Amino acid sequence: MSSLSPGKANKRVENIQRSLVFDPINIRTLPTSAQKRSWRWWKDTLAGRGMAVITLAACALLGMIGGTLVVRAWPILSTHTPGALITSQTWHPVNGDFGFWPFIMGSLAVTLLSMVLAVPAALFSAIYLSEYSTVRALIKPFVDLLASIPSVIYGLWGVLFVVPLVRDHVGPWVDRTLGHSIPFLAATNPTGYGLLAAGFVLAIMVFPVIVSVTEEVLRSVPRGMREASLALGATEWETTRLVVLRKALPGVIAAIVLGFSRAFGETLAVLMVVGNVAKVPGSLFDAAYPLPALIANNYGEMMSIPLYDAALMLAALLLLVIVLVFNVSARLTLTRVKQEAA
Amino acid sequence: MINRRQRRHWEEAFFKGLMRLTLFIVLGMLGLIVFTVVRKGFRAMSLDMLTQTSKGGYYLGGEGGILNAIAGSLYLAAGATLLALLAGLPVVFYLHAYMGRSRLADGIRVVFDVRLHTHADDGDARVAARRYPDAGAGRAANSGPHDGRGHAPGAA
Repeated sequence: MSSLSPGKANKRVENIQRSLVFDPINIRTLPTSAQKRSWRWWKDTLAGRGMAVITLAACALLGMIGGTLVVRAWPILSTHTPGALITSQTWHPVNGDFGFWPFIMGSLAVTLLSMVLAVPAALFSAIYLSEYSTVRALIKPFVDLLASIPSVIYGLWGVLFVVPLVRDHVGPWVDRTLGHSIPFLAATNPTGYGLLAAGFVLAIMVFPVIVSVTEEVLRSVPRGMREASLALGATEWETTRLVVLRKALPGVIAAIVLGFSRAFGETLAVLMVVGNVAKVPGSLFDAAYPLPALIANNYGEMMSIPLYDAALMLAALLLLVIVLVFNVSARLTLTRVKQEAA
Repeated sequence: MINRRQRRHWEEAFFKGLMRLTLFIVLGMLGLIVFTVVRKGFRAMSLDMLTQTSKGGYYLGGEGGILNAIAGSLYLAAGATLLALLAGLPVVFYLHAYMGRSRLADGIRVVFDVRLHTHADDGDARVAARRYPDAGAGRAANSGPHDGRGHAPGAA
């Protein structure tokens, strides 16, 4: 034993301990020599390899989706420069003009508006559920229910309720009060279909996502930190603001980013209420045309136009890359936050 | 003149009220969604609607129901669930029993989480509890049924 370093000795003791405890999770780490080459050993190995193949194939699906998009978008990427495609304003497939700028701006505008509406509400709700509520078990299921409503129903509700509300009440009211002095609020569009309606519907859709992730992050802050702060005489809100939120900040940002990528990729509900006009929106009431709506509305039609298919695939690729980058970074942050808390 | 103690008290009450209000408003939206759908759909609700397929001229106010659509949705969901189970169960077993705590397994989990697009908190909490057996009583009391129990060698 004297030749072993303390670390190695510990490791060895740990291994022995592990082999003594019945641990169903790690049971296959203990094949004794007697079990090797037995029927059971073969079964285990075969099952393991087979399941590994299925697992890797399931992961590879993501790569295959991305690969397909690149291949199908290649024709347009080889004739136009990506910079020109992204910054060009005109979308005229018949003339060969494929400018994605209005769609990118449409997506950004709708998503940002929904975040402005959803983030404060979601943060307050998450804080309430995690720090204050004595009836969390009663309220949380309703928040989760909000997440499980199919997006077409959100879209329908948008058309039946939000659009008329914007058209008949919000729009005229803003027009009477602020609309003439602030261009951003000008009543440019009397139909009600536009940024505001889409942002509102989208905000309610991403609300539960941000709430559940934020709440989970807040709850992973050790109780001792709260107790220390309360013991020093801080109120609950001061404890939340100065201790819990500060400790949970990376996780909270990750939750917001996750909500952002969810909103950015949302298709159907937005498509139903956003108005779908390929123009950079200049006012809260303007119609917009986000990337997912562009793909969903046009794929399968007018495919005889050269490069049209490739252009839509490029839009899909753009969407996938943006959503993936946001999503992966948020997830990695959350994994790290959780490991620190655990 | 408001003193400091009162100000802190009011701040506390203000934010607590604000939190309640936002939660109330958003859950009110949930109620509004259900209300809108029920109010608009209630008139069309009848036994025929659910038990008959659509006949000619259905969309022009003709007779018939939406049985075909309901059945179609059910078949589709059943088939998809079956396929997902066939592919999904081996993945679950593999991740849990064969890869347990490696970095590759974490990477694969991230890929699936990303595709899921929402958050699977129970599974993650469970992994964390297994990986970090010293998570302690505070955390176990804090977060859900999966923490701090079992899975860790020597925990019991």
